Amino acid sequence: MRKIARIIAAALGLGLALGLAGCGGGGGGSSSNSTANAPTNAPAAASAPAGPGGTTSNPSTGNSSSNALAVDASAVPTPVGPGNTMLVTVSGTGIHNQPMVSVKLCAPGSNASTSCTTIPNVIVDTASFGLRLVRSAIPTSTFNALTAETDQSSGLPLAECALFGSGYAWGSVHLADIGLSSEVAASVPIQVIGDSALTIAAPSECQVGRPLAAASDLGANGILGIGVSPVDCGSQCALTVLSQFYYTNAGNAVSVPVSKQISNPVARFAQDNNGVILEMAQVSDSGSATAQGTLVFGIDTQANNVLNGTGAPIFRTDLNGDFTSSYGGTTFTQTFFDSGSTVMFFPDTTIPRDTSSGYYIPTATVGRTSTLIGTNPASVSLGFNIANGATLTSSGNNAFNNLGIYMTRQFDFGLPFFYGRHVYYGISGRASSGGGTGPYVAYVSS
Amino acid sequence: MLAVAAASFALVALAAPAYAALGAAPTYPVTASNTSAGAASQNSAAVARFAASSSAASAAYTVSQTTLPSGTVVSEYIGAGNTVFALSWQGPTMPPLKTLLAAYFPSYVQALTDAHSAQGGGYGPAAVHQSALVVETGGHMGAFVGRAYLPQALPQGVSADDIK
Repeated sequence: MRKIARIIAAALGLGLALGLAGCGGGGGGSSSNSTANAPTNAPAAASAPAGPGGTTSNPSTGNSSSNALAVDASAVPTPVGPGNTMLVTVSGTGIHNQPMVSVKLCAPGSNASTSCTTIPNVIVDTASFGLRLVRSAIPTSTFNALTAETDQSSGLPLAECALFGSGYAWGSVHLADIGLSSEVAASVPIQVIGDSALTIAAPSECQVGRPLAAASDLGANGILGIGVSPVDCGSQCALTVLSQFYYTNAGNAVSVPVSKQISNPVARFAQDNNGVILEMAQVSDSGSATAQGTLVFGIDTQANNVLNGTGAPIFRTDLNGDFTSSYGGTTFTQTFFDSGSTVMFFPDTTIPRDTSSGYYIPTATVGRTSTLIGTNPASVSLGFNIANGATLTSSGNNAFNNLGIYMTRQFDFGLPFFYGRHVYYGISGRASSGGGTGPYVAYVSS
Repeated sequence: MLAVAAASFALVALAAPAYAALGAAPTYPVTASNTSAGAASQNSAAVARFAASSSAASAAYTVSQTTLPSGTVVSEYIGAGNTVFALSWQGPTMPPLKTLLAAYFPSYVQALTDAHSAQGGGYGPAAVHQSALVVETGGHMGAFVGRAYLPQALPQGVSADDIK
């Protein structure tokens, strides 16, 4: 905790000193020449090391998997400049593999020009929707300009609980102009987490894990949710009073029209508003201290955000960004690319793991293949590697392309997947020439 | 708050009992139509979804499914003494884990906090594996999936693989 607080304090006060190398470097490492002669992974139970603090699960011998290592993805991020691109960094914020950007926040309806502040260390989250900022990160002069949204029937200020897998954010709802690169999202509802003016506690049904109320809880000043949904709830919250979403500041659940729901800022741009591309430069296979990339706005709207003609596989998703994959004989209808997940989360009993932490801890890095079910083409083989998570997480590095944790019933391609790739997200109802109408995801690996 | 709870769980006629869910009685009403029998499996085969066969061994547990107004489906695995030993969920919202994990919720949150400090875990998917409690929470906004169970309270012959 102290380490996190110190780093956040430094980041807030001084900003991060970032080397603008532009093109991603830091690749290399043990890119294997994987051939048919690569040995299968014969599990050696006796030699699997025990992970920290827990026992080791030795892999079942039932179904052996080829251990041929995947070739590292090698796509290079487009250069950052004025217009539709932003620098993304991974560094020692206390949370490994968390991609961060800076967000410009201004008075609503000011064309992002009045009462502005720039907030660093906001997590780029492609599997959530909406901008959420910790109150303490917003200077009071800016915050006072952010009009509070109110419930249409009672007139009371709105509050919302945002649910995540292991935490929840309880906060007030305000309007703001958001500046990202040269793009402006005007009068967008955002969530202000840890707003002391919201005196009532989060409703019990919202308390699903760790409370996310301060920067130290997040390891960041906020979350920029730029996945495929334009808003964080949708028609369900507009047509019905639904628990676990919007409330008055007195704690009564209310319905909220779609136009007033917390919104994906990209969907509110005047242009370049049909999607995003997250492009992270490849890192070392033993981890890198830092990583850089580019967040690009728009798909097939500029020379630097082309999807059409790249040959990228396209995957139609549901309204929340999920599609289907097959792995180890099991079908996963909840497959997704998530920059907000710090590792790969998927089930594989053939890879040794620390049963306490869940980290995969093979003695030597292993290679695996998932089959993604897409639109064009219908089936895509995606290779990836998993290295020893105990070694990686004690290395002092912060960016990892081969870190995984055992979890059933889903296949979550977290940030490790993004290194060396351009990953496209087409917003629901918005079209691009290369992707068709969203929601869809796509990627290129070189 | 009680009025909100009653309105929210429109499909559930009763308010939640005072002490409910994991390690205790089920949170949601258990009816004939939302319940199926679970058989103890010898080698982690799938849960028997229908208690139709007269030759099946008497059910080691029952699975009671409830759909929340948000659309999230919660399954409560109920063993001897009407005690919930596991639960799973899938859907647009997280289930109300503070209620469903009951007495285990504080240690769950502590485990998440410790993991956050030690391993730099974020706010998304997480795995908590303790001797008395296992929680695997996955998915993301709008599409969550997960399960929780008490390893020391699994009925004989039942393994973690049966919790789906």
